[in-house]
Amino acid sequence: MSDSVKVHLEGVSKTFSSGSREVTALEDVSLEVGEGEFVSIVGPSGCGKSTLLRLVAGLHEPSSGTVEIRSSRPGRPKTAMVFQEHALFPWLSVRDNVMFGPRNRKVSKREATEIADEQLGRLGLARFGDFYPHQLSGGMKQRVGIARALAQDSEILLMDEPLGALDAQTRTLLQEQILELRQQSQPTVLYITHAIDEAVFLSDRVVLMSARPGRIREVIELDFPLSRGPELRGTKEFAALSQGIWEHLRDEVQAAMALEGP
Amino acid sequence: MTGTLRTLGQTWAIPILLVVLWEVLTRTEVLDPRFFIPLGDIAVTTVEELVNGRLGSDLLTTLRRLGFAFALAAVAGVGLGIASGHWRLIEWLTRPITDTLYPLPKIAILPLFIIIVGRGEVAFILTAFATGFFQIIISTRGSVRNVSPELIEAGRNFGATGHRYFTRFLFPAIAPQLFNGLRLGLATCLITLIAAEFVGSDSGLGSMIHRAGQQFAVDEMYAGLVLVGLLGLVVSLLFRALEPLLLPWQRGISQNGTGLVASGG
Amino acid sequence: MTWRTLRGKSVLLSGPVLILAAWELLSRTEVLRPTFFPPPTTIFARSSIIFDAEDGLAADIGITVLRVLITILAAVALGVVIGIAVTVSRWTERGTTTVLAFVYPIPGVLFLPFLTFILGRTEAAFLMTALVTPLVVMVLYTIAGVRSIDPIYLEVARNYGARGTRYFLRVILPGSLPSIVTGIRISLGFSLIAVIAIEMVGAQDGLGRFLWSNWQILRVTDMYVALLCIAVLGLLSSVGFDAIADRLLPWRADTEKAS
Repeated sequence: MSDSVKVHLEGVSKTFSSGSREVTALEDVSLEVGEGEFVSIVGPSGCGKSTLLRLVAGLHEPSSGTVEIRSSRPGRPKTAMVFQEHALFPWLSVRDNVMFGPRNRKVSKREATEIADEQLGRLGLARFGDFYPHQLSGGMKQRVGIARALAQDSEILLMDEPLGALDAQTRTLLQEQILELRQQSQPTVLYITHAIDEAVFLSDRVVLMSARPGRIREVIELDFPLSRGPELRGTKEFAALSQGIWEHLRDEVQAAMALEGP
Repeated sequence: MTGTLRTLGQTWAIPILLVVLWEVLTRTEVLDPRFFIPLGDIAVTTVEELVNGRLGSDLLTTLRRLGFAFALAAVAGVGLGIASGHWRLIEWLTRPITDTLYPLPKIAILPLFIIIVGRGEVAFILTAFATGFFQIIISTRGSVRNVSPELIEAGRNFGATGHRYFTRFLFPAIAPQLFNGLRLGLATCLITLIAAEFVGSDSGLGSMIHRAGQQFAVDEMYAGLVLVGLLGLVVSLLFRALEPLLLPWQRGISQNGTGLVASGG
Repeated sequence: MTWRTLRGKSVLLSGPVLILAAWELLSRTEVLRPTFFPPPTTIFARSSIIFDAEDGLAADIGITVLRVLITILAAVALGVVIGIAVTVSRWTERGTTTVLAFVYPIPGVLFLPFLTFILGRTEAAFLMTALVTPLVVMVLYTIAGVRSIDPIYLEVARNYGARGTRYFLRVILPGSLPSIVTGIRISLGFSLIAVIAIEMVGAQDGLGRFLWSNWQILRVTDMYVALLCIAVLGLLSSVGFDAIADRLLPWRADTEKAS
C-alpha cells in the first residue's frame, strides 16, 4: 500500500451460510480509502454495506480477498464504530461510555477522563458526563456514540447509518456537526447511509453498491472542498449530483425490493 | 386523595379488611374455633414458641439450609449459565439435561437423596439447591443469549476482549436479568426447602408445621404458615432494597411489573 | 428433515446419551454403588411394571394425571374468572395482588394439615390443597394479562359500545390470553409439584405414594421407575404444553417461553 492509503480492500467476498442456505452478501469488492478521506457508501437495503463495514472492523472475516489497514503508530486502535442504534452501554454513565475504549487499552483513569471530557465537549455534551444513556434523547445518545468513537483516536472511523434513527431536524443538525468535526481533525471515515444528500454533503467520494450480491457499481468523486458549509445544500451542483446519484441507484433499489418479494 | 396515598390505600385496603373480617369471624366463633384461630392468638403463640419453644431453632435451621442451597445454586447456576450462554458446545452438552430435568418436581428426588446421603442436612440442602440451580442456569443462559448483537459488536470494537469481555461487558450487560433470575431462584429454593422439610425432616419450619398438624396443634400450625409467608415477604423486600444499590443505572427505568413466578420442581 | 437438522438433533442427544452410558458403566463396575445408582438398563427393564396388570403402576400414573388435570382445570376456570373480575377496580386489583403475593411463597402442601382437619383425609382435601398455588398463579397472570392490554384498544372497544359481559368476553379475555396461557403453563408445573408432594405425604395412591412406599422399603430401582414417570409427566406438562399451545396460538413461538 502506498503511504497515503489507509484502508485497502482487495477482491473481498463474504458469504453467510444459515442452515442449508447460502447468502452472498458481498462479491469481489475492491476499494481504497486514503488518509483523511471521507468515503460514503450508498446502496439499497441488503446490499452488504453493513457487512463491508464489519469486515473492515474485523468483526467478520472475509470469505475471500484481503482487508488491510495501515497502522500509523503501534498501539493505535485500528477502527472505532458508530452504530445506528447508538449501542451505548446502559450500565455506564455517558463519560464512562466514552472512556470505555481507552480504559480497555490500559490508559490511566485520569487521562481517559480528560480524553472523554474533551470529546464530549466537542459534541456539546460537556454537562452530561454523569448522566445515564436512558436519560438522554435519541440525538444526544448518537452524539455520545460519536464521542465514544472519537475518543479512540483510531486509524479509521466506521459509521453505520449513524443518523438513520433520528428525526429529520436532528439529522440535519448532526450532519453539520459531523462536518465540523471533519474539518477540525480530518479523520479517515467510512460512512454508510441511505440518504444520498447526506453522503454528498459530507464526503469526498461516494461509493454506489448494487443490490445483493453487493458489488461496487460506481465510485463518484465529489469536487466540494473540505471547507464547505450548510449553504452547500442550496447549490445547483449539490442538487444535480444528488439527483444524478439517485438515477444510478434507482434500478438497484428496485432490484433489491424485488429480491425481498412477497 | 393524592396519588401515592391513593395507591397505598388500594394496596392495603383489602388485606386490612380481610384481617378485620377474620378477627370478627373467629372471635365471634362464626368460624369453627377448632380450626380458625384469631390473629391475636396466633401472634401470641408465635412469640411463645420463639421464646420457649423450638420455633427459633427451626427457623434458624431453615435459614441456614436456605443459605447454603442458594449460595451453591447461585454460583453454579450463574457460572454454568454464562458458560452455556457463551459457548455453543457447553450449551449443547448441558441444555438437554437442564431442560429435561427442570420440569421434574425436585421434591420427588428428596427420598433418593436421603437414601444416598442420609437424613441429615445435606439431603435437604441438595433438594433445594437442585431447584434453584436449574432455575438460575436456565434464566442466566437466556439472558446471555438475549444481549443485543449490536451491543456485543460495540463491546468488541471498543476493546472488551478476552477476560475483559466477561468482566467489563457481559456481566454488567446481563446484570438486571441476572438479578431477577436470582430473586426467582431464591424464591423457588425457599418453597422447595420448606416443602421438603414438611415431607421428610424433623427440623426446620416445614417440619414444624407438619408436626403441628400431626398433633392437632392448630395455633402452632398457623404460626408456622404465617412465618413462612413472612419469610417470603422479607426475601422479596430484601431484593427490592438491594436493587438500587447493585443496579444504580436502572433507577428511573420502570421494571416490567410483576416479575412474577416460575415453576419447575 | 435435512441432514443438517438431523445432525443437529443427534448432537443434542449426545449429551444425555453420554451421561447414561457413563452411568451404566460406572454402575456395573460398581464405582457407583448399584444399590444407590442402579444401571439405567435395569431401570428401563423394571419399568415394565407399569404395565403389570395386577399391581400395575399404570393405575397410579392415571390417578396422578387425573388429579393434576382436575387441579389445573379448576385453577384455570376459577383463576381467570377471579382475575378478570378483580380488575374492575384498582382497589380490588391491588388489594388482591397484595394478598396473593403473601400467599404465593407458601408451598401448597403446607395447607394439607389444615384442610384435612376440616375435610378429613379425603380426595377433596387433597385437591383443594393442590389447587392453592396454581390458583394464585392463574389469578396473578390473568391480572397481568388484563393490565398488559394497550389502553387504546379498551378505549376503542368502549367507543364502539362494548359493555358488560360482551366487553369482557370479546375484548378483555382475548387481550389477556397470551399472559393467561403463560400462566397455565406455569400453573401446570405447580400442579404437578403439589400433587406429587401431597401423594407423598397423605394419599393412598398415585405416583407420589408409590415413590414413598418404595422409599420406605428401600426398593431403589422402583423409586427410579417412579421418578422416570414423574419426569416424563413433567416434560409433557411443559414441553408438551408448549407444542400444543404453539399449534393453537401461533404467536407464542416468538415470545420468551423459558421459565
